[in-house]
Amino acid sequence: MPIATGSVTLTRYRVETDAKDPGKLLGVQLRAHKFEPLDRAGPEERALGFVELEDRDGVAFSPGALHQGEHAVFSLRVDEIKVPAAALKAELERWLATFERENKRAASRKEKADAKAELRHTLKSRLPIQTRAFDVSWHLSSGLLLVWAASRKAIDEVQATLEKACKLRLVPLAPATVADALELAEKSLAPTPELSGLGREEAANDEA
Amino acid sequence: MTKRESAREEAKFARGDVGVDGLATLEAAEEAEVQRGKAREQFLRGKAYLGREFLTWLLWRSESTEPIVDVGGQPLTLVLADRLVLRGIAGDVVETTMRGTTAPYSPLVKRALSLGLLVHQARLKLALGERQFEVTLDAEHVQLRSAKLPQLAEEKDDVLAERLELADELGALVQAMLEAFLVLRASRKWRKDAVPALKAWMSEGN
Repeated sequence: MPIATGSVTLTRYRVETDAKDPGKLLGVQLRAHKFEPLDRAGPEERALGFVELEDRDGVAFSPGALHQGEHAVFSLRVDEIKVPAAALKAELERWLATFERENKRAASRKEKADAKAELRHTLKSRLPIQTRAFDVSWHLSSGLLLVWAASRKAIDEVQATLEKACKLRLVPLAPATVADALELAEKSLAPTPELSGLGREEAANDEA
Repeated sequence: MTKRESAREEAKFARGDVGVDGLATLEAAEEAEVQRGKAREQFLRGKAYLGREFLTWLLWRSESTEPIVDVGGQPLTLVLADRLVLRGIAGDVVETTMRGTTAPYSPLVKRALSLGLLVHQARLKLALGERQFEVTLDAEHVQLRSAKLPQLAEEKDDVLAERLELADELGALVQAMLEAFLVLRASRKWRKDAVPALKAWMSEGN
């Protein structure tokens, strides 16, 4: 839980929503997109959903679990079973050799595809589930939201899932969006040619 | 040559990767051009150059040890330390990394900046009153990486609440510096005063 200990990597967003009191509905919205455990017997190899910050299996989102002072805190949990391609290939080669020995012929394309699916399923039931959780804190009165994760892919996934679940827009606080929020003239935002070595006209053209 | 190897060679020729003599068609100069094109794309993507100019401005401002901005009536000071990544689009060097406790303020860095490179990633040590933060900022997303928050509370419940507050505070400090820079950059003072002063400071490395 990066929120609680150690050094952290944070991505900051400004929350844009039409809701007057977005914190009020948050528990309901998170419950609607709660984490459902991965079914090893099913075809899915990945499960994703929201859990409570301090209980990776908790999906009740009671006010006590969801709110910490002025912040709403929760996590996006991602469970995954990764079947290594090398292991699948080795198993399939073993199966093909056995098939040829027993049937005195090579396996057909369909037989091979069926065997591959079966082997994948068998491997999946043996492999451990990898669990990751990415923490989110949302200062409800200021509308500032932090994603406590380092991986760009994970951050984008948290953003997309949260926007869909809570019907809001997350604006990353990067220089360009901060400049927009400050309503600075677009022409004043062109690269500074004296610093970057980009020609003056070129800078203006690139900006346009 | 086996049939498969022969087919591979033909495919390389068909793609234009190799000429009739079997040698690579892409000359070193062309590779450099491709690399500069990529560097330029990274420079312009999402106005990343704003972030690079921001970090370069912070480096310059921090050398004097004067406060960068006032936040909540308190002066915010900072130093850059440890690791600095510079990126450029015009010269032969498109990226270089400098390491060392005082590396950011070395003549070598100033020389590189005077040649058109800008700071792309930097490790900042920020001080506001008694609180000290450390964070690595990158130019494109201004993501707060490997941030160290001051630890004050002792009780577990208090630690969580405190870290939430401190993370927001660190974000607010970076936001305050970024806003101060962007407002300056959009004003006449940028071209008239700040850029000439920055160039003069960079030339100290020559």
